[in-house]
Amino acid sequence: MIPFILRRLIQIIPVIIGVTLATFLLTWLIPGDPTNVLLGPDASEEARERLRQSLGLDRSMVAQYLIYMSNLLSGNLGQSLSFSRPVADVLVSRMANTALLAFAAIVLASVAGVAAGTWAALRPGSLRDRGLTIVVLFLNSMPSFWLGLVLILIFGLHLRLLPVSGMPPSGAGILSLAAHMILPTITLAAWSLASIARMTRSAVLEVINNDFIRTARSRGLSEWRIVLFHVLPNAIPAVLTVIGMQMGFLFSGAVLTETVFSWPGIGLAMFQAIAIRDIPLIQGGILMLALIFVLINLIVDVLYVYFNPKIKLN
Amino acid sequence: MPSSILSVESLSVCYGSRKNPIKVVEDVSFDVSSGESLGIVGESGSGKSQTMLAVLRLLGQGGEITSGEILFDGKDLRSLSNREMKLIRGNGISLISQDALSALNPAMKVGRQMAEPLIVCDGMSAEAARRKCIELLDLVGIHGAASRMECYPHELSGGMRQRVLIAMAISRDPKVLIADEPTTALDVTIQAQILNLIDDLRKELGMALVLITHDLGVVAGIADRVSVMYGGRIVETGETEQIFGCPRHPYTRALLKSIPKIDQSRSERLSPIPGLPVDPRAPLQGCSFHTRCEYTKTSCTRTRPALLSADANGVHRFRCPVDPFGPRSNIAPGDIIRSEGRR
Repeated sequence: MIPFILRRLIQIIPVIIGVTLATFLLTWLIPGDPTNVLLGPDASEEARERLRQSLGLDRSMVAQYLIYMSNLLSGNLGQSLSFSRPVADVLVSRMANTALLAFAAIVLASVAGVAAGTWAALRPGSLRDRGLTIVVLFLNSMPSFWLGLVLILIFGLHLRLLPVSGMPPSGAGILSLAAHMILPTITLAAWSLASIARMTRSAVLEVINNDFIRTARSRGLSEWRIVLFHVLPNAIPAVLTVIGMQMGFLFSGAVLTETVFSWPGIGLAMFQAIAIRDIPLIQGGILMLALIFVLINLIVDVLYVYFNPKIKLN
Repeated sequence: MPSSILSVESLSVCYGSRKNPIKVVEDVSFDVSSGESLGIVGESGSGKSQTMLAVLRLLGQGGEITSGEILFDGKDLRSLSNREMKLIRGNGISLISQDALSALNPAMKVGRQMAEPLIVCDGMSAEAARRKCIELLDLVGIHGAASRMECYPHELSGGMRQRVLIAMAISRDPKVLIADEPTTALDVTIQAQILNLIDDLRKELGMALVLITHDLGVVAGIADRVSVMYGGRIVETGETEQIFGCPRHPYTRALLKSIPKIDQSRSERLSPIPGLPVDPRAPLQGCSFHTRCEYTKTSCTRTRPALLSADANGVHRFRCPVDPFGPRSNIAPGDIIRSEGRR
């Protein structure tokens, strides 16, 4: 298992280089002179030239990429224009908030999705099975910002049950934090929950008709034990792939949800950065999200092998 | 006759909706007593596996027992609750499935799979269950049992997996062992070993054995009595000697004739049974074999034949009123085939 993980880690390196290349090229693809953004349109040509020299913008593209990479390796992602702080600082402080939300959402989506999918698959064609199909369709076809706004409308404005915006100050306690998290978590989880439930349903249906399930029944095991220890372990690998993909989407999908709920995470920061063309922050954010995506895929691969002993490790 | 441990009386099984039921098993009766072995023979789709699944109440989606009585150890299995039925499965009646490849959980180590019901249902400690499993694997002839416990099913050969299934089936000392085509997935040399193993275990542990197969050779070697099924019904039943020595039903006879013989010359053709098995969705009136039978009379297409006795004590019975091979029939017994058991 350890050599397998190491091998996968090494395979990640070219992917990461590719991502840095893409984020680096972003500055070249976006029209306009960067000095324009930094100094404003009224700056003198001398001031622009000085800035170009100090930033290394007068050198070749390759040289600039190498500078960018060496900066990256020393943890320097540049200075954010909108926050007037180093990009790395902004990302790290925002990351925790996004991760909190994404983690809560994936737990909710996985647990509820697997449970609902299994529950429906145990009685295929029944009322509850058809009900789940409808709910899945509904959740999958609803844009998250719309769902967020509807939830705000119902629980925030009409029922006045839950806070609808932002994060409580750090001293406010866990209950207040949880209350603030409920609506954004549900909003963020909805789409993934539906996908996971649908995948679980079909995976469980496939497993449950296998001979070994009948073997387990013929040996006197109880139904819940069979579902928990014989059906699910065999259905999980297929579901795990979906969960892994969803998790990557959750981090990047947080842009919409965080904007709707003013949740101070990476998504909201990115949204603001795009609005005012804060290129270093956009670059840093994309790089970070890409890294998270790659890392999650690695974890999913490892879990996949763990759950499916038939996969050869070489 | 000794009192039977499992007796099934006019069992019928239907699939599909109530409006449009598909009868896959009809009016099937049999019984076995402890230490005895009964072979149930029939081609694919004759309802032999469904009969056994019905006994265990493990019919697939949409399957239902519509009539009949299943008595196990004096208990009527049809009237038991699901919870009570669960207690019968595994330690009262246990099953060896036909496909050893798919009958084991691919994601669970063999040892854990074997031990699970011992710990969960019989309340053994993990250590005691482990010891018992190693003992069982030894018993079914798996070498290095302790290390095999740590294997996943896909790491074992087909024969070994079948042995594991047998070990699992006998692990809770069942009174009745149902073996559903236990050797179909195996090659011939392993087949013989597995059959001998099952038969030895039956004698050693005093279980009743119900052996389901489409292979008459398998039955000839092991079974004390044989029931032949066709189209969801038992068409002939009797002692193994009677079935192989003087079959009375045309289907049994045709089945025996279709077996290739080792001393048959190469130019001689096999005699297959013409036509196709009955489609349970389009049931036939009268005798279910009449479309393929060479002795069909008009009465065969109208009335459903009843079981007739062929001997004085009613052990050998068959469902053919035409009875072309009976003592009063003028058709000569002809070449009576005695298939050698693969022992």
